[in-house]
Amino acid sequence: MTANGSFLKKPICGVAVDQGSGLEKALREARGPAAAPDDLFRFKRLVVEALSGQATTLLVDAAHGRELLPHFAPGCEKMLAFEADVYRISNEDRITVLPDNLSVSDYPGLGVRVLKFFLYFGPRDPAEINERKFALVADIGRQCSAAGVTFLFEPIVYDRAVPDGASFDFAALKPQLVTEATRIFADSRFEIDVLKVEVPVNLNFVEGFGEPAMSREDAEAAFRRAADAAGDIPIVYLSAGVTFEQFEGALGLARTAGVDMAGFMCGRAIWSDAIAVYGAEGPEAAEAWMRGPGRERLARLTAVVS
Amino acid sequence: MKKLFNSAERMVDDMIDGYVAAYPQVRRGAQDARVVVRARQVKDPARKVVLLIGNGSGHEPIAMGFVGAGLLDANVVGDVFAAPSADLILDGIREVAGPAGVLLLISQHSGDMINGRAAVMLAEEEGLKVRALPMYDDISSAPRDRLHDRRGAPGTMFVYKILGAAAEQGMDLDALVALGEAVRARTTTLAAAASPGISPLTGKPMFCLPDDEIYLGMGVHGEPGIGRVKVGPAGDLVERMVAALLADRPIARGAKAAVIVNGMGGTTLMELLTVYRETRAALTRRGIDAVAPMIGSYVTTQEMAGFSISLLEPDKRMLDLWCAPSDSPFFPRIEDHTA
Repeated sequence: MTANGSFLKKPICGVAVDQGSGLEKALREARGPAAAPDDLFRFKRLVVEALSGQATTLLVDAAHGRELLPHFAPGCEKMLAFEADVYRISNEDRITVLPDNLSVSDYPGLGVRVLKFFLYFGPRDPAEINERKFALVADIGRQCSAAGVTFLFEPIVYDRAVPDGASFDFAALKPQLVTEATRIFADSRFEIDVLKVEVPVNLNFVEGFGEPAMSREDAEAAFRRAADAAGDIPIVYLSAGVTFEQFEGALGLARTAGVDMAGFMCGRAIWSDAIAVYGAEGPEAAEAWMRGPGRERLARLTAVVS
Repeated sequence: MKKLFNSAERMVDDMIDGYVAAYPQVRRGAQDARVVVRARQVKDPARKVVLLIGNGSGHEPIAMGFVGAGLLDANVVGDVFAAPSADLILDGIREVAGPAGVLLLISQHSGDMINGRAAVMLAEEEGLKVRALPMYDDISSAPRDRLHDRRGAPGTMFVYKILGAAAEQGMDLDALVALGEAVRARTTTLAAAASPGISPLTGKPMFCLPDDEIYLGMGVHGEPGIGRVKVGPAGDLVERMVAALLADRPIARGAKAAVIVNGMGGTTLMELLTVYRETRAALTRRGIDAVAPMIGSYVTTQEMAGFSISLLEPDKRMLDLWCAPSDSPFFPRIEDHTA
């Protein structure tokens, strides 16, 4: 575990733009015939330039990150993903592909003090698969400690018996999965400094947000149980592709539940609407959107956790 | 930037298709199409320790270009700039494993180390006899008192070749590990980058550098190093680099130094030969004999311009193995004119 006082100071109001091939495809489809080879990079740079001044930290990917780092606003903590491409998972065990062009020990030299690592995790997977995942996370944790780099770990839960993550059945299981994953990775052997966790409920099935399959009280209790599982490790919530309104509502629910959260890391919920603007009207319009509605969204999320 | 690929999804497999079709020394593995294995027979398979390495693609000809007799038995090819997964490396180990054991060479980068260690653990659980040898030589990546934190750089080619030749002669696994550690301890590398390569994934330069500056100590992927220097005569730059290498690991007057001058992909042979001339001169001024040079672009990062200098102070056995015959598509013939 590595002390990084300025990063760990609450609240962490983070923006993520570490998406790879999925975002590239969305931009290509949005732009149609006007698509350019550097659309992905230009879009990421827009996010960095427009939002890093308002965010306490901003997450970029290993492929584009080094070129994006000079565009960060002063005071915004640089966070670099330690993944070859977050959408490319190596095999059916769903183990993240690691970069070979970036070592943990390179982070300080790049001026980056926070490493983020993402891993699909099925608490009910066979033990031999999960033991491998534990060894992988512990290995990265050790290297972060040795290099003096803050380790932010993001487990995304799944269950092989319920593969449809948007289904009611998965929504019913999700609180248990998120709580279990959080409990496991809060163990000191992983040397994790911050856990970037999923919202433990699917708001589409929570009273007041969507189909009322789960009461608001039960949802709040699920938030508390999952957060308590982290012990002393600070948690930040990730937006995981939900709409802005849903993520804002989820943070509000966590707050109402009395969760002691460290903050949030928000990607698509802030900037996904800019993809259509970029496609239809071009980069300048997308930049204007980012500096207008984009900043406003970030400010609203910041207000929820402040 | 124009790149000649069919698609991002196919670029690595298309490259391997072309490679195995072109060269009789290699074939695709039966376990996984991303494993390139030696095609020609080994004299005594029961006694031969097999050598393999996994690495991300985008750096060719290393390491698949060095699969062949007297060198590597297999190379596990990852995606572009991505460490091959532990499962893929395990497939490679299974493909070539024999009774004499397997030596997995790992060029030290975080992802390669993590996945390599995991693959060794999985292979051991299957009852296979496997050892791993981390390779590191880049003096700019960590000071000498943190030698084990250094990253792998083109000096690792000394390890490939010397261990490959020794394995071909029947050296056992423990002795190979000991020899590899000895070669590693005697090897140093320092790089100088002049301009970036273009990532085939992003289409963007991998770092920025003013036209009149060279980056000393940059890693093969553009990892940070010592810092920038102004472009000047090649001799001045090489003198500075050789001095740094010898400050890190001194070589006594009268001793020999085997030299690798490696181009990063976008530097001409004309320039690399000039660099060797200056390297040899810098060593000669210090009373050191430059021997058995390897000069060319073997560890590349697309069209990145620049070079590295690697020095090995060999003992007699290491030098003999370095110069031993081999037969792979891209490893050159090495000769010691002073022998």
